[in-house]
Amino acid sequence: MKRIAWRTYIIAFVITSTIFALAFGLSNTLNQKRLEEIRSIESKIAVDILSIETQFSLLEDLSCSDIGSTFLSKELASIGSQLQFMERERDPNDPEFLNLKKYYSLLLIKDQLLTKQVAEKCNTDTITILYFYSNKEEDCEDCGKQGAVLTRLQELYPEVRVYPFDYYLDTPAVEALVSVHNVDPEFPALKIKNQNYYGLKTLTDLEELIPELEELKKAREDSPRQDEVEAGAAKLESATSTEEN
Amino acid sequence: MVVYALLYLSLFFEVFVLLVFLERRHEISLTKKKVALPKNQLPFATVMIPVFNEEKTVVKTISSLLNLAYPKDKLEILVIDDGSTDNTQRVLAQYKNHPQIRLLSKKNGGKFTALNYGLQYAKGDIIGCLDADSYVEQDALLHIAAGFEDKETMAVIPAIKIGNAETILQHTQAVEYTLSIFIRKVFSWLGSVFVTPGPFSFFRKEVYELVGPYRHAHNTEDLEICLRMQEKHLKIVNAHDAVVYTISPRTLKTLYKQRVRWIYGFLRNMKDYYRSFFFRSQHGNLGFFILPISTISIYSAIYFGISLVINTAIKVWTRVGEYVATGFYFNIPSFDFNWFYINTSTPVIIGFAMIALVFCMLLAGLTIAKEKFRISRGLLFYTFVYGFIATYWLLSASIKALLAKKPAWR
Repeated sequence: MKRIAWRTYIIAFVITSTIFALAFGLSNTLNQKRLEEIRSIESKIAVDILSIETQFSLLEDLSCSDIGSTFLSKELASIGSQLQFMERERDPNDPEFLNLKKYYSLLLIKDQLLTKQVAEKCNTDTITILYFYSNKEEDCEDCGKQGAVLTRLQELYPEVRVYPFDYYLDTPAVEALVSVHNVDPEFPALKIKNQNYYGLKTLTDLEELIPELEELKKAREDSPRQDEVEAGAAKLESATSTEEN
Repeated sequence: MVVYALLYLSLFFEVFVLLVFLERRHEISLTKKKVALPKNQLPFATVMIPVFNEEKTVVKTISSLLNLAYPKDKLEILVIDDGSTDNTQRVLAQYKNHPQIRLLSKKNGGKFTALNYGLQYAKGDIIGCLDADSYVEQDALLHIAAGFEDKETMAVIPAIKIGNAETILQHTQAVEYTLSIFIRKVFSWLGSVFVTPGPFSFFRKEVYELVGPYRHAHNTEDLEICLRMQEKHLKIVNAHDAVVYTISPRTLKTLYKQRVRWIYGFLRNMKDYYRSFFFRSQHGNLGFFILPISTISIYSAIYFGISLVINTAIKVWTRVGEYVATGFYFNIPSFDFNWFYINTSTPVIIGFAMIALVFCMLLAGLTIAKEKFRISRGLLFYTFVYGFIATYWLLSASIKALLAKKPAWR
């Protein structure tokens, strides 16, 4: 009869279990840290929105150049991609995560309303896209692709504001938004300039639907690039200093 | 849940073998002293070389045996031609009158029949086999003989290295063989060796009387005879300083065939022997843990391999779909590090822990093999690509084993 190395098995069991426990603990801690990071950015945006709203209400006669852009879209987009990552990597029905997502949707709605107000006051033409998606795979096979198209659209045209909403997110504000814009549960759904569009819209489709994009492209091509402007300024400065000498 | 159970078992196996290594690593240096056996104590050795269409490699194999640092009068070489149809016979003719070599010839019947045929002529106290695609280091037989100093030892197995690493696939196999050197040593310490590999494993001649001759055993006679020895509690040890070099498959096709044959043979033999071994305490660690975990690890590797392939395919498919929708574009990747987007799910963290432990096993293997660690293309290929490819032959062999569909030898 051969000997069984019981002692080694027991030590191996303890070590393996410890590694497992540490892996669970580490994973959990890092997820908590992620949630905290989102939470902190969200509260920063909330303060910013509140500040702009207050500014807006107090100073009705504030000039448009003073208001400028809210610059919140970039930060909102950053949270958006962080939430999207978390949705993929952990349970999307986690109550803590859902709360953050609801809060994010509220911030999006606020930012969208504010952008609309600024546009009306300053008579600017802001391109806004409301994007309604569903996380249920059977509901929306093309939502991933639509997301990629909208991300690419924003890379090409940073002036475009995209507001993504989970259609089935159980929150009154999103439900109200769906109802106000009369969006049917067909995905992906896009609201562009008072018109609802259903099904995947490729980049080419969107460029056709929004003719202003062509103008934006042209304007960018016509205006000198920022680096060219900087290079020109540097050249001028160096010429001036040479003359002075 | 299945994922966690399989991860736990795999991690447990790695931790367990590394613990055994740490407990007994001091024994590695001790074996050096055992080599210097006086000439009169060295056993008479017979080396059988079964040959089938090996015209290109057999001369190197025989030459390496003739160069062994072992008394000429204590070494006999039997070359058994198993009905070769190429020029092997003509190549072998040069050894016709060599005093140490005996040329035998028979009708083709498979490796096990060639070995059994050779056994009828073998005069050695210890009898070994050397595949005609392998060759040995000069002191290999001295180390093997030293292993038989213990009267209880009935078989001694060597350390096998890759002898012709040229292609990336062969370099990758070299990494794999280094890991095998480690595993073989640990299994030997645990009394759990379950393969006496074709290249240069030696047996006391009584072994064949006790367990009988070689059998077909699903084309893995070296595994099956070892299981029969283990059934009878015969001691098998590993002489890690006895180094044998084997010619490894150059192409994916030949590697695939070799691995399918090995895994098929393992699984079919497990089916034949699991009642005798699995969870039988009389077989010690072999029955309690090593054989069951080795079987599970094949299915576990298939599970993770398929998951990996499917996930990668889905990612590629999704990306293609996105490009169709957005039009193809290329963004220079941003090197802004943001920990937020690193996948830190529990299985991924455990996966990294497992890779780290495999590296520890590799380092232990290199220590045993007295080689130095270096980051080679073989290592990179082994770490990042080999898992994908191995899934293919693991799956293929498992299906064949399930359907009892015998794979081709070559």
